[in-house]
Amino acid sequence: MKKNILFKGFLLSLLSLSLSCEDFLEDTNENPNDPVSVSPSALLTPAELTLAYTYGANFSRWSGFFVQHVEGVARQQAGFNSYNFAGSNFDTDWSNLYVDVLENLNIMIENSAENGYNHYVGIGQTLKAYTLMLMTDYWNSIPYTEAFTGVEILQPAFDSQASIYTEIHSLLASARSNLSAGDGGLSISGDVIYSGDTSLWIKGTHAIDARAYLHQGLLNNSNYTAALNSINSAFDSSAEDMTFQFGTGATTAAPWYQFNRDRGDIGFNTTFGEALAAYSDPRLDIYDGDGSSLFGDVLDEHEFFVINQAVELTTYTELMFAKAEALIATGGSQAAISEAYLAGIESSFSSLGLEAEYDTYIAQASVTPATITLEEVMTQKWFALYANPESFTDWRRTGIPELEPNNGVAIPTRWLYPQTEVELNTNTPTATLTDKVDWDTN
Amino acid sequence: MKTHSNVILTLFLAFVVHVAVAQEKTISGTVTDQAGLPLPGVNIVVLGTTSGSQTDFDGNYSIKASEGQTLLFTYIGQKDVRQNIGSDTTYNVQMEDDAQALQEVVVTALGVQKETRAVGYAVQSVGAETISQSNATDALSALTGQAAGVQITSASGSAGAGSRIVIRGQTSLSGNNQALMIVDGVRVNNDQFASEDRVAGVAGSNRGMDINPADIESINVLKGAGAAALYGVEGGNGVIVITTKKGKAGKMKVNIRSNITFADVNKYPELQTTFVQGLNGVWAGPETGTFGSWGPSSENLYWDGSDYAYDKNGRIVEGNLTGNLKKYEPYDVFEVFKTGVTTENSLSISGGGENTTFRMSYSKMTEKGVIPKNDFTRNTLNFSGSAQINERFSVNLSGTYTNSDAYRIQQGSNISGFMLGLLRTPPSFDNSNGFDNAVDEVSAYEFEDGSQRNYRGGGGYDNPYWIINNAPRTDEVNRFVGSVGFNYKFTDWLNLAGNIGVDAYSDDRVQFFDIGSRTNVAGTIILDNYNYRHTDNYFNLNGNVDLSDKLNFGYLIGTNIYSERVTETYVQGDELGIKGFNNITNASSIQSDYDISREKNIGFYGQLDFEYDRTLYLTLTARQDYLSTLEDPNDFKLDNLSLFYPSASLGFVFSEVTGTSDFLSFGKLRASWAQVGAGAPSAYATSTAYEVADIGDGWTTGITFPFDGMAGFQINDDLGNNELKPSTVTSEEIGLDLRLFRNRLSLDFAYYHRLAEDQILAVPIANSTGFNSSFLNSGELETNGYEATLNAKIIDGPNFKYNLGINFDKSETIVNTLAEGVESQYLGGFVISNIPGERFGQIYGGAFLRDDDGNVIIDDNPESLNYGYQIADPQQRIVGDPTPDFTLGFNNTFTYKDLTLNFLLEWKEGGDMWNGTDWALTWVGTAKITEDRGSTRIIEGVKQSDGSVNDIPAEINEYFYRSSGLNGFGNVDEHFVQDASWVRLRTLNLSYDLTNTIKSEFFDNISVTFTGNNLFLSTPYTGVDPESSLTGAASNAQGVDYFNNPGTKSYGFGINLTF
Repeated sequence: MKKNILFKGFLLSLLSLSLSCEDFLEDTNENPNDPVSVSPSALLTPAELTLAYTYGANFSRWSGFFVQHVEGVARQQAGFNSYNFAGSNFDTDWSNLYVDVLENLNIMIENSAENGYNHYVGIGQTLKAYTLMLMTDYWNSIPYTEAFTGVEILQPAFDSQASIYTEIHSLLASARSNLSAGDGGLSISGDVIYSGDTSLWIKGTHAIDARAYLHQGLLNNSNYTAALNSINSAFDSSAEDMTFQFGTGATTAAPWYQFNRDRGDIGFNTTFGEALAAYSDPRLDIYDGDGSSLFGDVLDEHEFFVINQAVELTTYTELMFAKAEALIATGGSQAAISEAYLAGIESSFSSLGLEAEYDTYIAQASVTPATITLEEVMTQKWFALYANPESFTDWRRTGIPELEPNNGVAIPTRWLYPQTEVELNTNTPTATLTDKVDWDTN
Repeated sequence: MKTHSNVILTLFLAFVVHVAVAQEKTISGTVTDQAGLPLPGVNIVVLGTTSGSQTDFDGNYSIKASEGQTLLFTYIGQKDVRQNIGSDTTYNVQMEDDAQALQEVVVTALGVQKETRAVGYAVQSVGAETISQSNATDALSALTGQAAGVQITSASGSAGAGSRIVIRGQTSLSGNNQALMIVDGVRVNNDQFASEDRVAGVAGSNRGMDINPADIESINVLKGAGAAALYGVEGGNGVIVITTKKGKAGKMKVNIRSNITFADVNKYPELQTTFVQGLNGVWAGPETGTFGSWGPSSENLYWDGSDYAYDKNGRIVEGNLTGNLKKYEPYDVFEVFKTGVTTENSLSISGGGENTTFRMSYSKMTEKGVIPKNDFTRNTLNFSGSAQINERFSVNLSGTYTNSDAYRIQQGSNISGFMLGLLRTPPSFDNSNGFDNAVDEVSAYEFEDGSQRNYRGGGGYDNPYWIINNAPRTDEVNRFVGSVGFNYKFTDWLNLAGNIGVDAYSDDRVQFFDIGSRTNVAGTIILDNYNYRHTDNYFNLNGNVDLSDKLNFGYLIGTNIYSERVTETYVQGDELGIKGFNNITNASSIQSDYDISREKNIGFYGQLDFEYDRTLYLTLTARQDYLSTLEDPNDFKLDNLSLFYPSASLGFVFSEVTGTSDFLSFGKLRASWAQVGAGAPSAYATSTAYEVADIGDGWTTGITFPFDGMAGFQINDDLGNNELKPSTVTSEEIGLDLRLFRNRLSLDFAYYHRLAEDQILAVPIANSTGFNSSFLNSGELETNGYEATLNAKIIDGPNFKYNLGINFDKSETIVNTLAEGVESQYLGGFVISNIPGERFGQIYGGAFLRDDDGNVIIDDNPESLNYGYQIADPQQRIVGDPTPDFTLGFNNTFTYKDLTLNFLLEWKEGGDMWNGTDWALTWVGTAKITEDRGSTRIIEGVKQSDGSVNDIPAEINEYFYRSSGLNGFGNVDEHFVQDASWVRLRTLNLSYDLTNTIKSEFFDNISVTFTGNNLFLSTPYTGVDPESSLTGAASNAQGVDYFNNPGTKSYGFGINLTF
């Protein structure tokens, strides 16, 4: 009897167990650690930060090797200084821009557009245009129209540089109209670059447009005229620069500071130092890291790569030199050229706190010869845009300044496609470091 | 004094053996077997004496003995026979087959004990004595070399470092490949949670280390999936079934075991000692911050004796101008290592009455590593008991509480890595500043102003002594593993059993980087606390029925309910206020994180056993599982969680058909086929959520949100997939089990094949898709392997015995496919990836550019700085393979009377290792290979311009080793991949059983032991002992050495008392 009860009890409990299977298992796999939806502001800040961090990291350091602003002295950076790169060296930057910046901007734009949050859409489009230009300038053709589909298209096709540039201008135009519309009930927060000031963002779209037209100048001279038009609608002073301000904490520090702290393998380039010295340029003291071979050895003494450096995405200084260059290309007057040229130098000096030195500096005939040529403009731009990736683009477009290759053979004119894309996307074109991007007909 | 003498005398007398001398006579006779045939080689001893003899070829013997004495006849496979000597002089003896000898019992799935002959798949058993002889401080290490097909890799020789156990290769591309551990019927967790990137941090413990080896009665290794089907998905990797010691009815027994072991580093990496710190052949002292040893040759260098903070001998000068300078001599960077000491003491008490048994034990193990202050302490309290309540109903329980704590030293790719700072130190710098006890002497590694005294003038890497003192990872684990079970026997054919098990622990870790650490100058404290809990419950009905005289039928049905929850609380505090104060309250900036991982499984299973005439054995199993990891949180359907898998195994004891002979004692053929399923490798793979944003550039710490008070999220770049299906592993095995020459030789061969399909893995996808990876059902792994074990009683005399055991293992797991379009899958450790068509976990990295014939291309552009050198291929490829060609273990046991000598020689042939240490040191200039700087040589290859054979004498100089991009820290890994084959004396064990010598009535057993581990090692690998793993036990990336802490050799003494 007792036997029977036990046995039946066991069977019953087995049965009830299978019935309660669902209760036992249900919701176990619901992720309690991460949110399934977030506000657009929570996506905006990291997208801005990743773009600025990436721009101020390998793009800045390795472009700095190419245009000889800085020198890779130790460990891996020593090899890179001689242009010994492999595709895998570019994996992180490619992934930062495609995954962390563009994919998240797309989500932000899409969700905001659904809700009519036009300002988020506009800022998203602006940052997207900036990112696409950075990528196409370094990698030429990149996936775009078939990109960002997750597993739907595992191997997106590559879009030509020309079509990327068309998209950049179109995104910026659309951004302007969105930034001019109402905010749809959600004003911008989490915007480190312009604190939600839409008028500054609109000026920023013109600055990016100007840069884009300038990059395409070699393809068609009318692009210089377009650049001039955009510049006139862009920044009025360096107070309106598009910059990302990093913090003073160990974990909010700017990318160059972090590199000097964590790696410290890069130092000042003597070619650049000698060029600055030839003009008795006071910026030398600020840029050079006190003459030590490694910036890492003068971490907190470095006057330029400070912990809370503002990474400059595009600036009034840059635009003034761009204006001078475009004026030269379109046959502008010397007066106008000189005005823009001097405005660039003055802005560079004042942003480094060297206002007092400006007059003495420009009094030098070497700085202000009777005729300001492209040589002067690009040299001064090279001085002013220290460790700014734009310098690499400038050098590729104009060949100024003239530089001896570190490896004795040739300075790279683009980046390699990353190892991950080469391996996972068979559409990836083959390219070497000394191939040229499409606008580089120089 | 007199009392003392008396006591000693009494003791002495108590041990003295009184031998009554009686009249000896010669006894003779013939020994035959059950069938009446003469038995040669039977051992005969006169009990209580040392005299013995053997039967000759015709089974005849003769021996001298006295009336009243007893002769003991022993022979393998036969029951012992005792013959009292009376007045006769002839005693013929007929021996009986010992069925027991062939009825060895193994513990199989769900704790079911089966005769070895009834098992249709490979099981290997390791007993308490072997575990004890191995001198291992944890259960897994004790298995090393003892079982074919079981690969155990210890992470390093550091105190508390874990070991990885993989049985018969890999079954998962990205998930866990380690064997499931079962202790007394319930699974125990063997994870090794990583607090930091696995390439850095410390050598952590795997949680299998919480088991005290002295509590283990036996370890049964269930290798095939046939054994594992009943354990569910985790059983697919093989199962380690540990049975702990239990009390036995009868006299209470007390066992005391005490060991002390001394350990030293067994192998140091090769370093150059010729060139001092500097660059371009010019000496540059530590105050310059110079990273490299590219200074002048020491041939003509002297110390100038000047007052110099970085060297008590003064600065280095070239030439001895004054004639009274001290000649420069290189310092020994390895003097920091000391002899490690491990002590292990355990006490157990066991016994039992008519209906109850019990055993309790306490054990304390303290391991002090070869790096000063590195230690690991483990305390275990174990209790087990059983009660037979009535003739049908019995209950049992067992529980172990473990407390362990450790003080660990930073290793690996880590600015505070101990070996990293140590090995980069130029031979001209003394990290210890001349102190013998530098580790306790602050002025050795720190100046009075608090800045670090290191070879980089305060920059670069932490001084190793600074690391030891100021960057420890301390942790404490408190764990309880226990189970209660019952068994109710209704009838012979119906038995109900249940077992409820729990495993719960907290792992409380504190990582300290004091102010001034090169990792973070402002100081960092990280609290990382894991709380783990699982419950594992089984309920089974089983029984046996004799269907006829010859046909026996057994069945088992049951259910298993498993639930697991792991939480991690992470708090990082930066910017410390007070130097030396290791508490999170000292931090002025805090980041924190909290994660929960949950998994639940329900399984229903059944097993049918058929036995025919003790000849044919057939076992069928099936299991139905429901796995929570397959659940779509937005659309719950029980069917989506379900998977079903069967198995069949057959054993054919052909010796029952052919009959046994002097040659063939036993023979069995076995075959099995089994499937095991698996869910997703981790929880939450079926959905995509947003993660706290985390930004870096591959070189720097980067930024983790919140940033400046602002929240930031990014879509998880591992795209979830709500359509995941279970993956399956199908395996087949055939085996042959032979016992020959009257059981003196036993052989076991196995061949197995395993196919793992529809793997669920985070497949890397092109970043242009917007993601890094997505969980997909894709990928296929195929394993083929052979195992052979041999046990031979080569000499089996009465006094002298020699036993040889050989374990041979050759196995390879090929990655057939990853996913469509996916040509590599990064596993970790910088250079380890899966590549389709290749063995699991290839070394995939930078290589030299080669022409179509495989010749290395040489840069012959005279303008180029790389003139005469190899050229780096911009595309990575396979440059090495960590999987060994085979492993072979020779286990030798010699017994002479009460003295036993055991040694285990292990041979691993093939298997590469990436010597990342040398890769980095080549750039630094301390690597041995850089000692040829200043020479020229023609590098083998063909010229880039015209493909002709290279004849350019290349300058082997600092540029070549530092900046050519081919060498130190460059993109090319090819020439830093080395063969990591080895032959080693894994264990050496000499034990003496004093029981017979002392003849105390008090002691049942007294023995003393000398043990040694790794006393001999031969390997072409130039770094530390290549049995080493940067990424630790839980990572699938093996074969990487990047400033790994070194391995050890050890020797020690132990005593074992039972009374």
